[in-house]
Amino acid sequence: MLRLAGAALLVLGSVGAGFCVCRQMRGQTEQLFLLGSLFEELAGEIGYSRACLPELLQSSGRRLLETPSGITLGEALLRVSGRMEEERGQCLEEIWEEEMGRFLESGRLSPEKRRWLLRFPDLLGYPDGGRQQESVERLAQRFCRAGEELRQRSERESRAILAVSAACGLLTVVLLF
Amino acid sequence: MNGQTQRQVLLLFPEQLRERWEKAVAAAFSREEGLREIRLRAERPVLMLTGRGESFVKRDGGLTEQAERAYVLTAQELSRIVRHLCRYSLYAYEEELGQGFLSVSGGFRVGVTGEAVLGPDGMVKNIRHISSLNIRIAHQARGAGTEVLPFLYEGKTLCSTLLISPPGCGKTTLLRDLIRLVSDGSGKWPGKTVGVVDERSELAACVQGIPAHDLGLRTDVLDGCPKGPGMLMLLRSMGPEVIAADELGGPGDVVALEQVLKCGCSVLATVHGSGFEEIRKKRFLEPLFLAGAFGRYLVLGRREGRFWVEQVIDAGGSCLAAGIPC
Repeated sequence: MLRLAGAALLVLGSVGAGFCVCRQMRGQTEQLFLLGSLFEELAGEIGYSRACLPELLQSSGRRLLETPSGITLGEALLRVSGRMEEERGQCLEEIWEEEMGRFLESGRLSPEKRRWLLRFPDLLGYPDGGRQQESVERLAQRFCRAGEELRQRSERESRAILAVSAACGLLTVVLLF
Repeated sequence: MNGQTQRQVLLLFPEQLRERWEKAVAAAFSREEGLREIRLRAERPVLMLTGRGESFVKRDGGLTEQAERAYVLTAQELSRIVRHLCRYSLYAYEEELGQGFLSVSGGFRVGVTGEAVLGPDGMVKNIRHISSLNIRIAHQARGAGTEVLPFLYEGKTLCSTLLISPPGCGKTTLLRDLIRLVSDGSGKWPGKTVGVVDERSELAACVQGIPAHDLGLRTDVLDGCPKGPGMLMLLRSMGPEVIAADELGGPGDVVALEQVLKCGCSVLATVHGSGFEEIRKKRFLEPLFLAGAFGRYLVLGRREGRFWVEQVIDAGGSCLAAGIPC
């Protein structure tokens, strides 16, 4: 009986590990799409309303707070907006790096994608609204493309990952017992 | 009021530059008539214009009359200041940049020069590679119009009034206060609904649509709109009793003013000129003079460091008062 329970736990554990890997990939995909949709929204607002960045970040942040997957990012955006409005005169690069750095700690992005996010302030500075919109749109597209690639890879590989992890569990059981 | 303005000036600069600027701004404000302009030019000494004249800012933040001891602003620092002024949203100021200025928080108007970007129609669309800033410190002089206001009324009726002044003699400052007084009402004169066409964003100094200066309880501001169409828009939709506009400059303005006057609105307006007789010779104003549009003319001047209403003239050309301080 104990052996059976142990074997079952081993198999479940390795299948669980496989699920975790798949969930991590799904989480990364979600985050990439979330960032893509955020920058798409910012680009749209820049093009349409030409509102200043603190206002845009504040309204996007509030909207994200209403979605379960967007709460952390929404809070980070509200903090950035709040610090910009504080009139302490801190430069955006510093504020963005600190607050997005905190957001990225809880995230699962690769170093390359983190750099894309952290370099957002470098994309600002166009006096022409149209060019500014295009610049932010390009960033949005990069995130969306990366999200799509990861989603397809995840779909292809998740079955294999689950199968391999189940097999590992069974093999371990066979070897041990 | 000085302390508040001083703080607002300091907020124009990013954190890393504030320590130096704090001393310089405090020194400038402590001078008679305070700080009027800050001139920032890339790779050039920083200049401050006070009531006493111009001074250079030293490296340690003090003021000096000697250019050799002045602190030279680097292009990088200027760029940082511009980004900070625009709240990292230069794109949001595209239209203002096309007209050569930025309206920033605190109600300050910042003149901008750099490389002009022309549109297909040959008009200036934008400015890039900004190389100079002229930060104009606007002071709201509450009470500037108090002594002259009674001369503008005949009974309870506000006469249409034209302020005549050379540059730098306070006509915008006085017009701003007259708008406020007329809008709020005072004593025997009830408040009136005032519509302001603020083409160059100097009267109200709107920042994101909200006036930074107090123009009164009953004032509606059309910001950044050309005067001619603006006056007609206000007339059609806001039911003003008084319409105010700064710096009449051409026949288009006059045509719109004629419409406004026909509808029974009073007008408060300003025009560049050194005196009443000079204004009478301006061709584009001739229709207004012929129609007897203005009931009052205020001729402004500056002496002993103060602004004065040198003359209050009625429609017939008679001088009603002289030498009223603002």
